[in-house]
Amino acid sequence: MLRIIFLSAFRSLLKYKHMSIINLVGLIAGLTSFLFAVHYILFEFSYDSFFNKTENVYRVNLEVEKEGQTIFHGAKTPRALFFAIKREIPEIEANGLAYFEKCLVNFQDRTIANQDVLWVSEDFEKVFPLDMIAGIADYTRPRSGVISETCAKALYGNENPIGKIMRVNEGMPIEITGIFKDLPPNTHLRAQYFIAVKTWVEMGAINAEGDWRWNGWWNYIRLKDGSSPEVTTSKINSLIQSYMGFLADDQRSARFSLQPLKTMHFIQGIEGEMGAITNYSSLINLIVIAVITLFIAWINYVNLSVAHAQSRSIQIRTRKLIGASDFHLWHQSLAESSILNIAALIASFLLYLILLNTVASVFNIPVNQAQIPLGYVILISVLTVFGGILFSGMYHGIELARIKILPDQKQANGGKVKSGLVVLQMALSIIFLISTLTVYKQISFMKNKDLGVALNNVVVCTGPASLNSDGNKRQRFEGFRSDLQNQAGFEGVTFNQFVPGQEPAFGFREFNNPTKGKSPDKQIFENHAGSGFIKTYGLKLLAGNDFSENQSQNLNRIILNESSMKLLGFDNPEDAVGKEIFRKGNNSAALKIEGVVADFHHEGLHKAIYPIIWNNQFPNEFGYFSIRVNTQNVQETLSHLQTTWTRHYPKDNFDYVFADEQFNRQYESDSRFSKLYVWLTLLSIGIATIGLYGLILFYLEKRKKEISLRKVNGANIAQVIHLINLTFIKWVAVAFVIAIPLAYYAMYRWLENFAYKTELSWWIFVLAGLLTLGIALLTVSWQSFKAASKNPMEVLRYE
Amino acid sequence: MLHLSNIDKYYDSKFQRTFVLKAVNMEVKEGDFLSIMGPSGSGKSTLLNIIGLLDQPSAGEYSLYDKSVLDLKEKVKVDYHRNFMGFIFQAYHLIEDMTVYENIETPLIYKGVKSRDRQAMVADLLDRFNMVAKKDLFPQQLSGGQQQLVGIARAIVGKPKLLLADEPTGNLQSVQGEMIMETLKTLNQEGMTIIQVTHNEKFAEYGKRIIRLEDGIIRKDEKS
Ligand SMILES: Nc1ncnc2c1ncn2[C@@H]1O[C@H](COP(=O)(O)OP(=O)(O)OP(=O)(O)O)[C@@H](O)[C@H]1O
Ligand SMILES: [Mg+2]
Repeated sequence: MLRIIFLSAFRSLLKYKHMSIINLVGLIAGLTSFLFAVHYILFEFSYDSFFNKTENVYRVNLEVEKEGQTIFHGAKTPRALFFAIKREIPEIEANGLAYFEKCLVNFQDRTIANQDVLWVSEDFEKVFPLDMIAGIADYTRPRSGVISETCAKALYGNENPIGKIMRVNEGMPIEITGIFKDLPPNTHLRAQYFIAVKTWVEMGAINAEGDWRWNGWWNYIRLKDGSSPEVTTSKINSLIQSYMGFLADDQRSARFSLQPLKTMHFIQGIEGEMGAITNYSSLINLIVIAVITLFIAWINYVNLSVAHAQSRSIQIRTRKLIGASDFHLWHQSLAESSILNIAALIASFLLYLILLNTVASVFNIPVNQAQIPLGYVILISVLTVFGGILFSGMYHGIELARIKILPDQKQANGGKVKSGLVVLQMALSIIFLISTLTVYKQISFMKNKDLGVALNNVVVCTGPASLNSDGNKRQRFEGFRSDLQNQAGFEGVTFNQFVPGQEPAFGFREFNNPTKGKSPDKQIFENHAGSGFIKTYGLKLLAGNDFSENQSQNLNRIILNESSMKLLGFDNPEDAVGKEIFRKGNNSAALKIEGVVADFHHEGLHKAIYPIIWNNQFPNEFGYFSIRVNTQNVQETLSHLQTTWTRHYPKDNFDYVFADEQFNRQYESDSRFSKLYVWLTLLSIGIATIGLYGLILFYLEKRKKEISLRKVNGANIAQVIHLINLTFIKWVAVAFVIAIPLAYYAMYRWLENFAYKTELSWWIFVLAGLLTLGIALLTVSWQSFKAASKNPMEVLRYE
Repeated sequence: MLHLSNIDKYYDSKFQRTFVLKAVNMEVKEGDFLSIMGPSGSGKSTLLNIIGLLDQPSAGEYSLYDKSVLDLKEKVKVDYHRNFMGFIFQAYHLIEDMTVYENIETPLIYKGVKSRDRQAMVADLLDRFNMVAKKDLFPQQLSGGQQQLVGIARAIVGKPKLLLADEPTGNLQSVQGEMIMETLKTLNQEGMTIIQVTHNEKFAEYGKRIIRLEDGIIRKDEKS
């Protein structure tokens, strides 16, 4: 019985080739993109899952409250916490400490800048065991560390790195004890090197036991199997009473919490993350869009097969007459939809395997380097397709069951196509269009908004790490600076700890303003800046001055942005200039306000502008040098810059970016999602369009007699086309009405992700509606023209 | 086996009620071969459809083996169609996507007959109708007469007690028509009850009894 059902289904698919091809193309397009979406989503959800028993690993986060208000919520915690947990919490199997730095590494004549280094405590390898290719990871030994496979090749070439010394930054000697397999892209751990932080203790840069006040470290724990995270959390919190009593001096309370490793990639709003956070709702949107794209392909199948069944209803009736129950007919439609879907699945799966690398590079997602279990992709897609078969087969089956053995008059004459699903498809298309247009509008809004800072033609160089502990580094910078300023083409040279477009990794502290009796419970980002930074970055000076060229005059002078000026209680810039404020806990060193600049965006438009204070200290380590270059002949200017750099900093590579490019990198994830959305939108509209095309053929076939009669009765071609198109215009209109509130709501929610957002313009809605109408009419009109221009007598003679 | 009494069939439209059948009384015995004749539009097909449980009378009584078969549930009707009666139509109404063999086999599948039994039953019929060589062809590849033979084979493969035929020869040339009528006659001789609608006097004579309808009223009911 199965044989005959499938055979006859197969034959009927072959016989009605046009319809089968329309369905197949739609299903393959929908399924292929669905497979990619599944792959990408698995990639995002697989973050850090490859570590052994990853569910036992947590990071300790800290939340500080005052008067019921959270004033700090961060991923970084004090270093002393590491030792206390190790000593006093029996529930843990191991715990580890980490600090991230971009470093300069060097071996013999090979020097590489900007390497991702994690300085880690002992036992870190027990929390995050690496896949060692050679040697071991043992962080109990100062001046030792491990290196990734790729970096080992780059730094040591064909030599065996184990036992060899590499130099870090200013020349710290580090012995390589092991090589690990490169971390895959789906981990929050960003490191090519893990080096024992005990190195610093031995060097005397930090003490042995750590302190409780500076929240600058990531603390990770791995629980014993079966340990309760809640119990552990409360035990860790009891450490606060023992060691962090100083908080009470400011009427503050603190709370540690354990964040499971698996959630780390998605939870936004925690300060000081190591890895990039993916916007959860963007990801969910992607899943929804991919499923809907597939759904649109299934709707095609249902629409076409229902229309088709009506046009060959005599066959259905015959089956019923010879004893088919609804159940049998249902088998039949299930068989047809299974064959189509399974064929499409196989084709899509091949396409997916072939195109994976291309898609990864087009959308700039390293999915192909991560290990995604193919089994999951297969399982999910098979289950989904199974759902699709059930949906389309069942819907079709229900429609078949409605066909009566004896045609009643209504069924025989009616030229009605089921409009519900078509309208649904159109509504989805309109929603997609509105969403895509809005996403694009927001992204171009972000890229074009006046940031209050001029980033074009600013070159940002990574500070010379080899001089981190060099006492003369400021003088050397001044030499570099005056050398540049004596050449043509350089319009401003300055230094900063962090430059616009970077999330500050440290520098947040509180300030008091006794003049106004204000000590705000909010941290202010204290940055370093050299004289000329206002000019270099094109900032607007509201009152006072930039730092003096004469360094000695800048001692304990600061510049505020408008936000910090307001936060500190000053009424206006003029009011602030010349007044003194203090760092919290240091009432002896008065900081005199030298100038106030207008607010600008230090980070992307996801974040609200925050208060910033600049002092004129030279960055203790690293830092960035920013140089405004003349727009004429940028290439030549750059090469002058490089020679000058090499003259002054022979040990450090000239490593630079353009400030605007760096700033726009913050929107990379948004751009990527918008690209994905656009593709899926185009695809789903394409699928819906070929479906509509198939449907119009059936529709006209059914109404050809009516059309001919109208023509015989004197209607001209234009009138007939108008008559046919009117139906479709009505459908688009209904779809538009359905789509607007849904799209509005979805986009309203999406825009909430941004501190600065474009508005939801009415023209986007209208444009989306008109586009859909245009596409529908284009699809329909050619066919209606053909139908309308047919000789009516020919049609009627056949009847 | 079959009893109709006072059957009315009418259609109501906005202004009037049109009667298609009026006070039809009819009795059919097992083994009968009945021909229904009458001008176009006189209600022949409607009557046959009512007998075949495809249509409901507007008024009157209809019973099979003294059991009323009005207002049956869909399921019970399907049961009658599978096990009790077979249909043949003027347009052959074969399933296009199936071969001759499969067309004949399908009713048995719907009925739930086991595969081995099915093979035997279909093979029997193919043999009987001399269609063995054609069993793998599709309906479109056969002549009208051959298609109608397949239609008959399909109608009788489930061994129905009652065979209903609406102008089975209507689309055929007379030689082929006669072959079909011969087949029906043999079936009747083997014990099958047959009711056919026909426009052809000569073919009507194959029946043991002829009913003449006019405007929905039985004008004559006579032995032939
Ligand atoms: N659903 C309906 N609504 C209204 N009238 C109907 C309907 N179905 C059939 N009729 C009418 O009932 C009458 C009888 O139709 P029927 O098909 O039984 O005639 P017939 O005797 O089989 O004719 P023919 O020899 O042409 O096949 C016809 O006039 C037809 O128009
Ligand atoms: Mg008739």
